[in-house]
Amino acid sequence: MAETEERAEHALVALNLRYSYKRTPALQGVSLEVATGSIHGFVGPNGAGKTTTLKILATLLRAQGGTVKVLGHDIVRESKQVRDRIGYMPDHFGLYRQMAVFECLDFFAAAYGMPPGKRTSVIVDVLALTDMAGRRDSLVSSLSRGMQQRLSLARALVHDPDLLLLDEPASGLDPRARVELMEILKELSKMGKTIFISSHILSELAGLCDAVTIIDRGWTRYSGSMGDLLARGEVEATYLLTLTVDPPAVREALQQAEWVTAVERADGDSSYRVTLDTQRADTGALLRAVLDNGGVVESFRVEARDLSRVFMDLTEPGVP
Amino acid sequence: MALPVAPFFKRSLVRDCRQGRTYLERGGLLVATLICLMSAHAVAAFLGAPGLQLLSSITGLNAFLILLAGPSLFASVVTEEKEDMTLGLVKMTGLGSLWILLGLSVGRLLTACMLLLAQVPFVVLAVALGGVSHLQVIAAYCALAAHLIFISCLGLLCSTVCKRTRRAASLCVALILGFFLVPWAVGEWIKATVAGGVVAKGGFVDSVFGGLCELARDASVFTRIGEVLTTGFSGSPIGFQVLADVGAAALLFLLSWALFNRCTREEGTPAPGRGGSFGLGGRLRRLGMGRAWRNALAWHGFYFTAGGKAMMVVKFALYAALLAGICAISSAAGDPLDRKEFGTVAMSMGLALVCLELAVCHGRAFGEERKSRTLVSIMLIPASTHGIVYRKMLGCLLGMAPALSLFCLGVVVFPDGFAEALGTTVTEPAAWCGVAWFVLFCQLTALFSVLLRRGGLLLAFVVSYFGIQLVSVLIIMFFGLISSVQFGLLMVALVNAAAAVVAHKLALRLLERAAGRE
Repeated sequence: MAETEERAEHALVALNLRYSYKRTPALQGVSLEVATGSIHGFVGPNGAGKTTTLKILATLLRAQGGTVKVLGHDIVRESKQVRDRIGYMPDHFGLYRQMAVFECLDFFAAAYGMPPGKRTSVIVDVLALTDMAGRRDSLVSSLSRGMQQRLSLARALVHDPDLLLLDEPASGLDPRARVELMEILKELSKMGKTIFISSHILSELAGLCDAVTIIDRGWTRYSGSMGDLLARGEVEATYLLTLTVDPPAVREALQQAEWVTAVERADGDSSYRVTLDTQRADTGALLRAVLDNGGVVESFRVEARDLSRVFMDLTEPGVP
Repeated sequence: MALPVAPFFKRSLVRDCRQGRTYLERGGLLVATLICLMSAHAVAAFLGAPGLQLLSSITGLNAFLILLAGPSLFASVVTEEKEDMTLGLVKMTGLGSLWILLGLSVGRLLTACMLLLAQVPFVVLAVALGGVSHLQVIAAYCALAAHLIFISCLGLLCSTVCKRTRRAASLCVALILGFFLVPWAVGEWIKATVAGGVVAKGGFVDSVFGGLCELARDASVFTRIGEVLTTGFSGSPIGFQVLADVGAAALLFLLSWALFNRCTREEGTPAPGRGGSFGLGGRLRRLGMGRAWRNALAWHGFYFTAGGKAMMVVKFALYAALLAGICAISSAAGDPLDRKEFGTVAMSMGLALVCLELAVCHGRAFGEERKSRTLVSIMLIPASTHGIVYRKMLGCLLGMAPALSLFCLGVVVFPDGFAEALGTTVTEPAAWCGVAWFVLFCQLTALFSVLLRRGGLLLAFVVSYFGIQLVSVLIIMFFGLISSVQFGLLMVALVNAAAAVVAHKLALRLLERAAGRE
């Protein structure tokens, strides 16, 4: 019963994963949990161990230590069941360049045991979802990188997996293709798929993911929700303040206040970006200081903590 | 000032020094020479002239290996750069095509020459063993060196002309077969027609075509080695074959140079071949691949490894033409094949072609997947590794239908001959030995094709050949005094079979690992 609950709650549970390439340790202690139906980001600098972790989760590599359960199945003892229910998209696509788009998907659908009658409709749906319907007869080798990326995603989707493992799917894509890919992923999430997506750029996943795991040098540095990540260990908070009446006294008062660590002009003339020491003052003190000095507030909101800063704080400098 | 090819040599040398493969090759060569020495020593007691035995086995093997190096080593000289899309970068450096060709080809040729040269001090031991002179050793190695240069230039031409290594290797095999087999076949046909009175003796066909065939036969390294190894050989170390091979190599190199710019003008990652099935229209559409079968991996193996229906039609036509050609030569000679002879020829040809295709398929089936980096996708299919491998090989087996049909034709025409051959195979340990060796060879080909980027087939042949030699020598040494030849062969067959099982398991494990590291 407990296991059934765990299956329902977590699509993926990895505990203390370890893996070494000869004498070079790639993973030294990676642990993470991915909630069913969520989009979970997997972030780390180059060489952190993201691809190795994804390959272990996809049953392509056998972990040298630790345990993994994917959709309730042990990935070593029940690898066939796991493969049946996951769709893995490698960073290099893994497509047959000599095939046409339809042939490629038809081949993989057949390889996953789909009957011929069902294959056509599934492929048409998948091509429509990835916006590749117009290229069904094109040779894979003639497709652009962005198109191959979409086809690779279509291939991973063709057998209707519950969990998608995507290894840096947005790398090398132009901004438009990137946005379009993210839209497709959101659509897939709405369809109930669990998505585990890796990237080395945290901000790229910020608007997409419900949760994130950050790894560095083979260790998990953070695993949890995006909101918790932004608030984690925070001693400063930045607010964006826009005034309709902006006397000079407001700026002077803010600059002189001991609990204000930085004041700077924001976009407009009467907008300020104010950073507070949260241990010494709160938003009430800030607003009081503005009103007491004759300012009239038009808008006031907290500014999200800079994700690049969070990433830099959690990871170590240099190449592992 | 440094030569423009210096960076290529430096790159080649640095790569050679860093790769463990280089040291394995040299070590393997030493072991192989040692095995040949042990083998010559072991058989000296009942064959005599151990030195001649040693030299003939080493030179014969070298000549054959050089032939195999053509498609597996030299045919990828330029195509590798094309596939890696680095040729354009090399051309952008402003190097002329001559320097690029020299830089790419000479490094690999020199490595092969060094392997040949390294053998000489050991082979000179043949003189000490008796039955052979210094002159014979030198003449044999001159012949081999010229043969190597010729084959390397032939590979270079194929590599220049073709976009992909696989196509270049196929072209190289076709040209090698053409060079060595066509003059022989045409010569035999002319002889037969002259003997049958169809063609006038000393007439135009006999003198011109017959003369050309004779010339081509004299230019063959195998003819030359036969001459050199004749007892009492006292000719020049540089024979006609050496001059002809070096001259032909120069012509092939010049041709590669002339075609280089034209053949490398467009750069783009060339996609692997589709087995000649793409773009077929009209009635030929039936030869296309259509939808994937329920057994998708077999479908993939059949169309993308074995060539599909279109290639089957080509093979059927080719094999039928070969069989018809043999019948025609025989008829022209006034001695047409009877039913038994026809059946025997068809069975032998069919069996040889099945073996050849089987070995090639073992090399291609997953070697191509590894090169194209598609192993990761195929290994994710929810099936065990051996299930994936066997299903794909099933498709490859379907592609052998033409060769199997030829064999079956022989069986139908001459069933008694088949029954007799089957009986011999079942009861004769030598036949078990041959079968076990072939299975081992195929497994090693698959193993090395997953492990190495090129030369898997060649290495598999070398390892299996010297493996069987070593096992034979050890068995003779340990059991020679107490056992019969039959017992020895049985032991060799058992060892080969065990090694084949190990190689098979290793290949499966390597396949999984290669997918994980892709």
